[in-house]
Amino acid sequence: MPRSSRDEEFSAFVQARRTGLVRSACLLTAGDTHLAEDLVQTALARLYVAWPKVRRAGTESAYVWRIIVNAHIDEVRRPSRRRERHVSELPELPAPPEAYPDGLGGSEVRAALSALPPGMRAAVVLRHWLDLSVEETAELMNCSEGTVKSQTAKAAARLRDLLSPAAVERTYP
Amino acid sequence: MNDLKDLLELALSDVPGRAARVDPAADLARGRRLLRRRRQRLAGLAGVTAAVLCGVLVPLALQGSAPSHHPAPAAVASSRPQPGRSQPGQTATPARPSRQIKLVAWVGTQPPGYQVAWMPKGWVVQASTPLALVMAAPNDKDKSPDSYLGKLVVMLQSRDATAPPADWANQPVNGREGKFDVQGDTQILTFKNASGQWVVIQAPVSLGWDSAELAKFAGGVQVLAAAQQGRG
Repeated sequence: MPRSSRDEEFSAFVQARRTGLVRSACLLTAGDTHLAEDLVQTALARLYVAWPKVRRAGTESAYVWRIIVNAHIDEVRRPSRRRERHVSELPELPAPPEAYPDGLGGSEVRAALSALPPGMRAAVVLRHWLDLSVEETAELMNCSEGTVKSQTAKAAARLRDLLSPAAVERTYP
Repeated sequence: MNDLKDLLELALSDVPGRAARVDPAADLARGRRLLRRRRQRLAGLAGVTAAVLCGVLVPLALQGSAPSHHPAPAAVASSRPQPGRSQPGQTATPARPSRQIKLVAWVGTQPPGYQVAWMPKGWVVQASTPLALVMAAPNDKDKSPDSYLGKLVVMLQSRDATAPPADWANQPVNGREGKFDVQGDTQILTFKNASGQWVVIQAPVSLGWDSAELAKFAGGVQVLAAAQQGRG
């Protein structure tokens, strides 16, 4: 099939950014790689449709992330596919990997992330992983800057509690 | 560990995929499919809008001209056939450009999904998939096979669409029911094939064809088992 300039530019974007998008989406999904892949596929397909306009504006990354974040929040809110329950205690967790016998492991951090509400998790990922400003994060999440600040502060505090030595000891005695 | 960035880095430390080689082909295919569905949906909406407008405006124009014994010039003009717009129930004749591109016998491999007897002289096939056969002038700058503007396209009617609007002009194809309409620079001929499926031919007015010439082209189209209906 012949390739247009849209195809060429889009393919170059996918080649350069896809791996990073899936890994970052893994943070949003708290380690659910299949859901992360689904979110990225959805976002990239919609990016292709909007490519000329988005490319002109130079907002490819913001466009993709807006779709990923919103699609993720929609996904976890969907009753038939709800993957999270808000509980006071950490849910049952897999054994920590042996690579981190003396400290935190990736699975422990992902489990702690999964205990955060999706909006709170998105705020943390956008602010602290993608290094977006409060203003950019608020625009992308379609909420106020105050909400972003409070969500990230609460998330940081919650993660500190969940990953404190005492909590980890309780979870992985 | 206090720094959130480090914490998030740690969360991904044992997630595979960091060094995976990326092949954009699958994403490209998904994007093209979505774009095609969007365009088909938009084309369907445009057709419905045109049909609704035609259903509302034409009776209004006729109503406005009927009661007066001395119709105003505008009312007289509105009751005349409009170039580039078909009249309900009649065989339509679009405004034809001075040059007509002739139909010539199809040469080359037949496209998947369709068997075609004719093609516009000098035109080339841009895409042939089970969803659509797309032909365009060789110097057409728009090389995207998902863009149908100014191109000759053969496809099955979307599975989400119903029969063509009743007020489109009648244009039988091979003795079977067919409906024809002109929308701007595009002519659409929808006809029932021997299997009872609605086949859609979209052609630019710039080809210089009237509805009979388009019906001749359509008469040479056979839908094979591999053809698929789009969505939207």
